[in-house]
Amino acid sequence: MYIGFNSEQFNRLFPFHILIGEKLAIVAAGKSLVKTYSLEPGANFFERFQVKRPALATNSFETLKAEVNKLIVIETIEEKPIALRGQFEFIEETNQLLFLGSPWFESMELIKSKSLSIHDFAYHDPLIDLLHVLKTQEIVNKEVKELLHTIQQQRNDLKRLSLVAEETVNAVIIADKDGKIDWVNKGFTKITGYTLAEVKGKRPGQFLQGRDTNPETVQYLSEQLKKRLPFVCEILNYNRLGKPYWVRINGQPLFDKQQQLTGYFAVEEDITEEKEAEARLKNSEQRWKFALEGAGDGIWEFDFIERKPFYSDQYKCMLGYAPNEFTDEEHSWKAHIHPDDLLFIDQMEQEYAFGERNMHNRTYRMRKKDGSYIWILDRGMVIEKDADGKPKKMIGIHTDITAQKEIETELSRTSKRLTTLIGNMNSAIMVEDDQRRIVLANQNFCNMFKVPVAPEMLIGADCSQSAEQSKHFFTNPDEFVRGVELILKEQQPVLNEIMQMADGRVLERDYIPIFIEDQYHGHLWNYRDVTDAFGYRQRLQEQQRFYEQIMDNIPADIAVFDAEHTYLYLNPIAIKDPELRKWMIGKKDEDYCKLRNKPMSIAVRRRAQFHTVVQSKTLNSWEETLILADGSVQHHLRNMFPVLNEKGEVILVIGYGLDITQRKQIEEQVTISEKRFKDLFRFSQALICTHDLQGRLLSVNPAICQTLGYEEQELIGRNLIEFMPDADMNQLRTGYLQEIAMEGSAKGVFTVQHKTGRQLNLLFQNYMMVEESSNPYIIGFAQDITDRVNAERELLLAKDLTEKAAEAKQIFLANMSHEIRTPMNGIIGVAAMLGKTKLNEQQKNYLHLITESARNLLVIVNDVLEIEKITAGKLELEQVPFDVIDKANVAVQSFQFKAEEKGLQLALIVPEKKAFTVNGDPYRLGQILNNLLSNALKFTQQGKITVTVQPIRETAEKIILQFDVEDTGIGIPEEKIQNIFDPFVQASTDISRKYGGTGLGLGICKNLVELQGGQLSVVSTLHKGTKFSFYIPYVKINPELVAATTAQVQETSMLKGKKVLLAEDVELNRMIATHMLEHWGMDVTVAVNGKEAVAMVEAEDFDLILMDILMPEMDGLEATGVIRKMTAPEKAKVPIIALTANAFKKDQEIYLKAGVNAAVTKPYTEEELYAAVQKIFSTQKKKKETKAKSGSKGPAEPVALFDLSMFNGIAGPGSEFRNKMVLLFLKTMPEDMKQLKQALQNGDADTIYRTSHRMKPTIDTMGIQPLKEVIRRIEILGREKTISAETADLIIETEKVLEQVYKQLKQQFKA
Amino acid sequence: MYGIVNKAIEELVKENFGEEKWERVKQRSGVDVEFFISNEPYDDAITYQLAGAVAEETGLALREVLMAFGEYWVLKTGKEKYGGLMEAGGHNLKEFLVNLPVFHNRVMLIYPKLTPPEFKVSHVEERSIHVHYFSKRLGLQDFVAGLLHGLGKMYQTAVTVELISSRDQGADHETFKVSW
Repeated sequence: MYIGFNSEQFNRLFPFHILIGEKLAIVAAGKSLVKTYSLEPGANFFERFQVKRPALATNSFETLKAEVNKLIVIETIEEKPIALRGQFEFIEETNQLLFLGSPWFESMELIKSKSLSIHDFAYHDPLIDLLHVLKTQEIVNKEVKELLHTIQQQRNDLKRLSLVAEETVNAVIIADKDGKIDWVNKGFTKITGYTLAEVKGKRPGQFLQGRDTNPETVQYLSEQLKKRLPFVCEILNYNRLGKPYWVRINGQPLFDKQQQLTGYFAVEEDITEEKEAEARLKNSEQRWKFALEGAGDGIWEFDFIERKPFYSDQYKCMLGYAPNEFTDEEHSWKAHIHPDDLLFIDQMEQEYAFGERNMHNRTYRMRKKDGSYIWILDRGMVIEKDADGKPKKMIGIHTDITAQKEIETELSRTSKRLTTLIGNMNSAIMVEDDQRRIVLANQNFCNMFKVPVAPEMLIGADCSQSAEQSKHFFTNPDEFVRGVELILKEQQPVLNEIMQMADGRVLERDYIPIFIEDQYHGHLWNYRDVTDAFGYRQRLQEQQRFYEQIMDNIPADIAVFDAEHTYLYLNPIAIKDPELRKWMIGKKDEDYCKLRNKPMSIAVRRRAQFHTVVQSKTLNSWEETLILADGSVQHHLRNMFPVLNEKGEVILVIGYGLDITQRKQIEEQVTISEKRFKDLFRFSQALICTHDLQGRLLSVNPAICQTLGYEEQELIGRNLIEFMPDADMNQLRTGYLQEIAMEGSAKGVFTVQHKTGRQLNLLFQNYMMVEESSNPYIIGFAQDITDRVNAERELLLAKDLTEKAAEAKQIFLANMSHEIRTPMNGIIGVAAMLGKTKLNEQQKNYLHLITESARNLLVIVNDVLEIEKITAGKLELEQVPFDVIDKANVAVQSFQFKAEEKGLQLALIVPEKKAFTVNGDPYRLGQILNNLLSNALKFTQQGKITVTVQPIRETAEKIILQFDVEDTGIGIPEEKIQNIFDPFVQASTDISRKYGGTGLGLGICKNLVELQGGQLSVVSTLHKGTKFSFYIPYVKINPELVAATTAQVQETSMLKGKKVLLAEDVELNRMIATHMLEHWGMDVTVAVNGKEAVAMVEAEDFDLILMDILMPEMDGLEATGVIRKMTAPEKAKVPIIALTANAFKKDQEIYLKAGVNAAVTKPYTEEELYAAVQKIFSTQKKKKETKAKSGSKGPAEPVALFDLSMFNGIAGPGSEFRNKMVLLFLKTMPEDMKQLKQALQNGDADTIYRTSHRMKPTIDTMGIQPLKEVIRRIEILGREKTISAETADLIIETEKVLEQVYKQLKQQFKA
Repeated sequence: MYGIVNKAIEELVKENFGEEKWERVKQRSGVDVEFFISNEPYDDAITYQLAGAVAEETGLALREVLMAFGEYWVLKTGKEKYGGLMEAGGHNLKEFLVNLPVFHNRVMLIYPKLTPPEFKVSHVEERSIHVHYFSKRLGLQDFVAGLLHGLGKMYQTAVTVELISSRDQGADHETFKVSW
């Protein structure tokens, strides 16, 4: 039979098959196998699978082939292998082995973990279902375990139960439904003596009940059983030996689920001992009864069930009855109780009846047979209770306590009387016994010492520690304790002792010891609160002291007399000596005069005054002037004042005197001062007035009257407004008056009218005066400034005119500069071109003359502009590093030729081997030296000219250099020497004729020197010579930082072939520029105006545009604007250099803003134009390089943050010099940076300024572009003494960039 | 019916109403079986009695009890006890329902003493399917509806189950339209 499957069918049937070639290569594998296990075709079978069963001798095709038709288990080789069970078959046609099988998984979870699902298995493969069966089996197994566990638990429970039943000391009986015993426990055998075997099948009653068994109990039991109800009872049974015993039976019937009776269950507890104890108790009770009867007390008994009492004979006898007279009825006892006492008896009976009470102990009154009452102490207790806790029987005794009660009543009465007495006393009372226990205390005591209980509660309390415990109440606790101890020790009465309490109260204390028949029985403490009385006394004393102090210290002499003029009181001011003062009381003035030997007239005068007072009954005052021993004068104001009684009679006279000397003196001073002020007011040239808040004049001084031409009376009472021109009235009302009322002061200028109508300007400064006693008013001061105002007005007019003239001059100068410079450019340019042609000597000479003249003319133009700049304050000085000697040398050298021509010696004298490298303006130094040298050369016909440079002061950072230019020329006349630095001034009028020049040079020099912080001076002797000297202070710098500044046309290869558009309207200038540009190899296109230039740029792309500014049709700036707005970016961005004859820097700034990249001033030299063009292209090149670098792929190469091309310019690329500079930078810069940071931390702005200033040139030289502006900003902030967040940010930024620069430098200069 | 079904009812009641309720259900149903063994067959009547008693004890309609039981069967019994096998039934609800006949046929093999119902599917649409339920037992169609709801929950898919034909209406089997 042959059955053929296609590969899809085969895969469906055997999704885990493996087909193995002869060389063990896997030829094919089932789709599900491949899904879970990666199998590349051609992989070696044994490298991917391991045969687990049966074990193979070798891993070969043949050994596998030998295993055909066997159960094979193979396993994948991986971390968590899959086992496959199946079999191998050999296919002869292809010589291949086919493994057919299926994976063997233990759970669905494993299948899932291998990324397989139920659908990856063939339907005929039972594995999944097998797993399902296994799962079910697993669940069932779990359930069976659970079931077994439950059964086990139940069995254990049962075991425990049966153990309890078996081992309990009680007898347990289980009987069948007929009451026949099924099972008994060990307890049963122990109690009864019968074994289970002996009793099984018998009814318990048959063999356990006996002679004394209660038939009623037996009856009860049989009825309960019959009714199938639970049963509880006590029964007397007999054991096997016939011995009786008591058991308590607790039993119940047992039912099945269908409520069918299945048997009985009973527990019997042996209570024999309990029963015996009960009997013993009964006997004992009986005995006690006899004993009590004997003591004379009545005994009673009450049976609650029978409701029957029993009274002993003694009881009846106690109430005066014979034994047979008092019946044993339930209420016979109650009937004898006093009606007032019955209430609580009834209540108690109720409590007994409900089982809430077990015993009592009470007293009440009982009526005797004879009708009298006796007091009974009744004590009783329940002696038997039923199962519900209700009393069954109680007994008790009655004792006659009448005599005792009477004594108690009497005692209580006495005690009450005492307590009431003490309780109502105002004092706080506490009585202690000899043991220091409290016997009595009253409420006041508790209140006083804040005892939070009723006084009765204190009785019996121990007071031995009370002093210690209560000492905190007293101001001086320790003293209090000591005091108490002493008192108690001495046992002597102590009365009215004052005690200060901490809370401010004052107590008065008595201690009274109690002695009865000379025997100490304790003591009494009596405290009284005397705070008020004590305080009153103290206050009274204080008040007295207070008034005395006032009287004693009042700055007046005081004396009090009676109606007879006898002294009653004198204060220390009146009589200082206390002894004398005391003596004076009761004396009269006459006595005093006698004692002190004073003229009696004093006494007489005073007596007269006294009488006046007594007579008039009113105050009498008079002044007395005394001349003291030292000659000084004293003034006294004396007063006498009568004090009247209600009848209007004088009873006292109070005399008092005041020393008014000072007042008198002040009054005199005020009078003088007032006069002075009045004079000041009257004679002052200032205009002074006062006016009210509405502007009405109150007073005016004569100066006002004079100034305004009015009389005083014409002004007073009139309003300020009336003197003002109409236009200013409103300003006075709303402005001035309001302002001064609100602000309190005002100042400004009023315009007022003179009586003649002339207007005057008054500068005023007025104040509001607010005084308590009067209305506020204004005091005004003014000054007539009419003349000044007029003068100012004229000045302003003049200034305006001057400014306009100056502006016109500037415009004229600018135009002139332009107009001259343009043709000059042509002349110099053509001359330069001519110089490059072949010329004979004469032509060369002529050409030299042309060039010189042109240059001279240019110097004149520049001088004019320069002086203009200086006078306008627009000259800006450079701050660049340079070598002073070098500069001086260049200046001297440039005159060397001319000097030689004139046969003069020209020498430069400098300190030997010394270079002065500084930061400053080399051009201006050159300009000054050139000017002075040019003058020297001009005015010297024979002899020599010497230039000397020498330091006059030098510190580590600064140097002041002196420059002398000395000649042996014509000299300057003495009278002219002081004017020679003025502009347009020359030493003699014929000089300009003879020597030429503008006369501006020395003025410029002087200004330039002064602008640089120095001074220029001159010493001259007519016909002998002149010496100009000046000094300039410089900041010293590192000599190596001095860079060459002049660009030279040397490297034009970069420009070769570049397309340049030249826009220039003047043909000559076009020609010169074209010549230069073409000479450098550039491709030049020409436009004659801005419009043409724009059209050309639109048509063609250029690398550079040179743009003249002033052109017809469209000027250079407008053209630049149009180009910059072009849409094509390469056109809009084309670099533009402006060519301009405007030398003012301000103009150049305008050009740069308009969009040009640089500006060159006409006339320009080839070097100047080259420098500008070259700069444009080198910047472009750099930008391109940077861009190329940043655009390149791979790890971003950091853009170089520095540019050492400056060194290349100095000494050529890769020079040793440059390397040295880099090393120097790496060495010094971190140190500077450190200082900068330190200064920031210390808040030291000065060091920040100095350090950043020092770092600035280095950063420039190293071409660290990102820091150029930053370091300048830090410098400015430092100089302005500002240390802000900005400073900190900038310094951090500087450090960051520098760190990068160090890194990049180190990398680049590794070699 | 196999013990596993009765056991599931027991667990459902105990879990939702407590042990005592289960004791009362047992007492009310008169079923005196202390312990159900999952793969032991029990009389179908026991299952019906228990379901009825649950309805009476809880005050729910029998239909609601059966529905709840169906859901519980899938989500608790199926998922907790046969987790892997249930999940292997399909990656989503639709796949599971399409495979339901085969799945149930496998169940038949595992529980040989079962009188299993048979499931068929038709009208397999993108968002709905018809499930045909053939059973010799009567009155368990709500249980089936509960099962279908439970499957929806197992696959976290909101489903509606609509009985579109039944033996009560004269058809020879019940047809449920399950939409999601």
